[in-house]
Amino acid sequence: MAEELRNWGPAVLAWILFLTCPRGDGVRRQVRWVLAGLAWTLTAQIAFVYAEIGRIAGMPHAARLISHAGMVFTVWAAQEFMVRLGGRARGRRWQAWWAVGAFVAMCLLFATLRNLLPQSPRVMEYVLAYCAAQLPALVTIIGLGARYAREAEGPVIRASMWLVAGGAALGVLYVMCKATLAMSTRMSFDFSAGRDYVLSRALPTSAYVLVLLAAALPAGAGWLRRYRRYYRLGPLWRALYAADPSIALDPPALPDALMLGNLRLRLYRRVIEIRDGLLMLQPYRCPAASAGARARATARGLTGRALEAATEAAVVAAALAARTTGTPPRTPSAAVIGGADLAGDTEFLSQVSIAYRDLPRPEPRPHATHTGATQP
Amino acid sequence: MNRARVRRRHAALLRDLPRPVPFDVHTLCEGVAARRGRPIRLIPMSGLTGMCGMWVATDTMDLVFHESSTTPPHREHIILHELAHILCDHYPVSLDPAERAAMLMPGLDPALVRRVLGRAGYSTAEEREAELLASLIRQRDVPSRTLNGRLRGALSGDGDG
Repeated sequence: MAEELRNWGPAVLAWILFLTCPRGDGVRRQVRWVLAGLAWTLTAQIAFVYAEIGRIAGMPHAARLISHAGMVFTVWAAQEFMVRLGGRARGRRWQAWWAVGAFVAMCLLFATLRNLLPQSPRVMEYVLAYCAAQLPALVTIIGLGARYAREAEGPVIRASMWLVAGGAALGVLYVMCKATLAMSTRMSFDFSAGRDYVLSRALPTSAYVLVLLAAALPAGAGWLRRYRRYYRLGPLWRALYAADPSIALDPPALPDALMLGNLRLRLYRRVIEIRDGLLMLQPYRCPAASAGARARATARGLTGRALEAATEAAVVAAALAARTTGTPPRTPSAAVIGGADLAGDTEFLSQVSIAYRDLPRPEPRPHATHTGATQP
Repeated sequence: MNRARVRRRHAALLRDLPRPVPFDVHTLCEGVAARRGRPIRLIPMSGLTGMCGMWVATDTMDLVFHESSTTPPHREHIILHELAHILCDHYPVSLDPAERAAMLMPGLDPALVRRVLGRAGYSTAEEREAELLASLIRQRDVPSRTLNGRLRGALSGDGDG
């Protein structure tokens, strides 16, 4: 069971991350390349897939070359990603040519192999070419990963960069072990530890898992943050949507809790639609209600942004009530409270939405007249 | 127009659109205006009734009126919506261009006005398309100038954009 998990787990995780990673250009594209390369490499190593590739290609060990090609590509793409994160347009050209040259050598050597036994001719040379293809890029990744981890803001991104550097360091250790093992057979020295489970199996798997976690951790944290904000904006958005459904580009198809995908766009739309709704309410905002709400919020000990959010929530509730009861609109005031940028405005509206949700609701009046919503 | 066609059209428009770094809607409009060879004038107005933005195309230039009594990101989106109409080359469905423009700019000669499109709900296909394109423009990846912006954009999908 543990061996099955070791075989399938990283491959499945790599595919999930690749398929859920948002498309983009620049450095985001490099992340997809790394994940695609890892998914390819790890899938080709699964025993069943390995055998099938061999059967289809007519070469029992064709999957070995395919898997190694994926690994060389992954390491090159990861190195390119790390370099671009530093602000450079591309990685060093010689490193790309080094990887290509080493891979061409691998292909030529592989074509002449009779089998993959360590003592067979050219197997050592093949392994050395494979290791050489990765080493410069892995060393670059370790150096840049450690540097970015020290400079990054936020614990999640810092942890992610340490995981990248750690994964690459384990990768270096693994290729060194692999090269030493290949030489030990031909040069008649003992390195039996290289065949142990820890160095030959657990070590590469740990390297893959660390790199996959490095991608999964910030992506998961980012998703959770967007989901939480989207969910928090729900009460305010629903109140405004009920007053004027025309604010929504698409009517809600599912409850908020089930909105799991495309959250970046959904969150943006929710902020814009709330702002459209608040604009529609402007002629119904009452300065007296605003002063009263502020005094009540101050009396509750609120200050700063929390005070502004609580006041805004009460003013919105009063404006919605005024609009519903047919109060004549007045000349709107030009003052608008909110964030100066999208992130700031999203955060402010989230606070307003939560304050709106927690407002005491008036007792329902059985004979209240409903005049219906009207366009401002 | 079906969804797949709209998506392809949006993808093509987004590919060709200038990408100011950092994102700035005024710089973007200047870039689009330079490419089209027609100036785009952004005119803030407070208390627009019934709509929060409007594109008025005259013989010589494009005028984008936008509500100023709202937050900067919302203002930016309203301008993007009107810019999306310009990019999509939309025509109004049932509006009297001269009348709508006269409401906003009494001094503007009605004979000069060619098209008017306003942002007030998404009841027509043109409005829906412009609104979606405006949202997509703002969602585009914009290369960040800082290491932390690049890290956030690449790993957690929260770039500076």
